[in-house]
Amino acid sequence: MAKNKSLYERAKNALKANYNLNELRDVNAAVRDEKIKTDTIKKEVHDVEKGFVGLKSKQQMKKDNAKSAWQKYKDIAKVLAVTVVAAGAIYGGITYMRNKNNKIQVPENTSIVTDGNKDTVPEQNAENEVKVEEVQKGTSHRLTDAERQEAADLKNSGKVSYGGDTQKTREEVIQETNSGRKEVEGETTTKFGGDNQQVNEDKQVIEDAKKDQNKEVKDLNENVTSVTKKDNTTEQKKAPENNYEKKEETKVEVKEEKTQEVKSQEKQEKSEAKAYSNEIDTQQQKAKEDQQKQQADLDDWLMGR
Amino acid sequence: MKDFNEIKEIKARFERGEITADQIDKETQEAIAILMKQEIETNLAEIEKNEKEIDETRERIEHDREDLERLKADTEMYIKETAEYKKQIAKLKKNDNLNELMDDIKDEE
Repeated sequence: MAKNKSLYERAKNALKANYNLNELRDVNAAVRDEKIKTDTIKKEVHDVEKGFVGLKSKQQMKKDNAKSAWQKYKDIAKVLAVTVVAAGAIYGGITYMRNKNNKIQVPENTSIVTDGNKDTVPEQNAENEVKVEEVQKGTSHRLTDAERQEAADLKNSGKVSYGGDTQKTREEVIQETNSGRKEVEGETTTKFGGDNQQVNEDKQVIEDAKKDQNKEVKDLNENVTSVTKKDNTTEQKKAPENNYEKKEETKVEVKEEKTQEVKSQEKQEKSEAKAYSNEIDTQQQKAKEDQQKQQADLDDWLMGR
Repeated sequence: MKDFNEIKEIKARFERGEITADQIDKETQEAIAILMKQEIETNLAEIEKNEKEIDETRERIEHDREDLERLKADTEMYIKETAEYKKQIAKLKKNDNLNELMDDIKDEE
């Protein structure tokens, strides 16, 4: 049954009743118009349906593309998150090793030893360690933005906080250290180590002592000669017949006695001087080796940067 | 007795109002009435068929509309979540540890 019920009823009645040609004509015209109307509507809804099918197809493509991008970025974010965590662990390890290495190196040892005050070494080492850590922390989360910026500027400037209050470039550090090495390898009277100065002073004291001793021996011999002459004169006056023998015996005894004593003393002093000199040489060698080791550590540290 | 074409011609003239029923003989009037009834029945059937088809099409359109809305919602969700992932990626790329490590790697290279 058609939705237009009045028209439908009217048509049915027209069909059942005895024909009234005018009524049939009007009903037929109305039904024909209604049919044309539904044809038009049918065509329109079909067009709308086609349009929706097209929209659905396009939207499905958009959804597929969006899903593909979503999956892609989701995977990237996931991998990157894992990478960041791993990077944090790796960088933490690197930072730890650097701090550890820097604590071992403490390049300022060179200047500390030069000062000749070994008591200050541990304290200055600790100070250097703190400064190295501060430089390393320049990129950590615990620093403020200003501190981080300062560290970044320092890093970009090519300078490092190389101990003390000064900031020196790598070349400056190498040059300074090399100059220190040359001093070590050169003559022993350089400023390398307060020990060297002390050693030189000690050597001078030894030399002076030797000279004094030689002078004393010389004076002693002169005195002995003088005494012998006097004795000979006395003996000649008292007993001229035995003068020669007594004179000779006295002279020989005194000379031999004094000569043995001096020789023993000289030998002992020479032995002590040699031992002391050996000890000084050992200390110098050890200081030189320490300096070379520090230089090697410094070079390694600088290459590691 | 008129033939079918003559009756159709008279019917057309009657429908256009060119002639009145009184001007048509009784036998032709009966024939025109039969034709009109057949035409009315046929058109009524067509109307019912069209209306049914229109209803079905409208129902499909309604389903399509729902599907389209769902597709749009899904697409929006994917786009929104993709934007979030992009933000996360940008944030992760700025990670200090990662950048420091990358700098170290570049330095090593």
